[in-house]
Amino acid sequence: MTSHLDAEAINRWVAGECDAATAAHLRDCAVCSAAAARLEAAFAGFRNASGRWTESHPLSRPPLHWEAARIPRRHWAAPRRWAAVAATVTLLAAFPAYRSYSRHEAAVRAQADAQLLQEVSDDLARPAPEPLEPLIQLVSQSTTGDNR
Amino acid sequence: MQTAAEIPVAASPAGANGLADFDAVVAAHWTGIFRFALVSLRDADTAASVAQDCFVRAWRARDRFRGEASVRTWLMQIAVNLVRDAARTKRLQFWRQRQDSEMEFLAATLPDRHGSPEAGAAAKEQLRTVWIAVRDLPGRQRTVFLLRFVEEMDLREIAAATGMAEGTVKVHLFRAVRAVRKRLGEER
Repeated sequence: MTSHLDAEAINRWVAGECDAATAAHLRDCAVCSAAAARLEAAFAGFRNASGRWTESHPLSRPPLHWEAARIPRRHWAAPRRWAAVAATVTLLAAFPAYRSYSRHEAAVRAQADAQLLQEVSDDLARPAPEPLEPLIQLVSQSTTGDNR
Repeated sequence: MQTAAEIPVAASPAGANGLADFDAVVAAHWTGIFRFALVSLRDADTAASVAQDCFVRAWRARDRFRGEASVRTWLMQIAVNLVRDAARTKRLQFWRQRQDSEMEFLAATLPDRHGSPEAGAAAKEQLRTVWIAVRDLPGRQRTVFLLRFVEEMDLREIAAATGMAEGTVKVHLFRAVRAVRKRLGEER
């Protein structure tokens, strides 16, 4: 045996692509068959470890009653999703209250604006500025007296 | 003799619609679907959600199953899509501790069957190397690698489960094997 399989040929073999020439070479060449066996052993170790890891989880066993598991979707598997649902419901519930508060605040502001406008128009409706009002009254009284 | 994994739902005596039959399908395939999701996503809660979703979808679509592929391949096809979606979501969950699942994996894996502590440590180190190499594979390569070497599906089944052409599956698988082998220091 003068040449060995290249790395790609061994990779293909381990991946499951079996051709007669590679099979024949691996039968005769201890070096290449050892390389393929090492890789297969590493992958088999990973497969076995994955199986044991899976079995170590209680969730790896099917639910006892499929009917019960089917209807309430994911309720037992992802409690965090319920937290997200609760947060969304809280936000949705809080929104009408916020809107009602905003409306109330707008009404109070409109009332204050109307009151200010009324005060301004009352002020403009005076015949003379407020400080001069006593003088105007005095003048009108004296004018009335003169007429008598 | 057919194994439970090979019996198409439509060929079962009570037909595809019997809930009792579907119970048997769940019992036969739950662990395999959970294992694939767990090793792909490395999170037990998410893997259980994927497994449950997988069976809910299969149950809803049971009338459309024509038995062209085995039940296992059909379920795995659903699981592959769910795992891909979950992985997209999981990418955002950066607070998850990858380290935790690695420790859990290594702790649960090796029973004390290696002769010496040195051999045990070497085996554990090799396992850790494969774990990291698989984690770092691009999504499709990882899926194909896990279906081949953990679920022991052949190339045709992997093609059916992933919706890829068989040639594409081979390309992804060879690349994945090359990448893992390189990490193991086996590449010559």
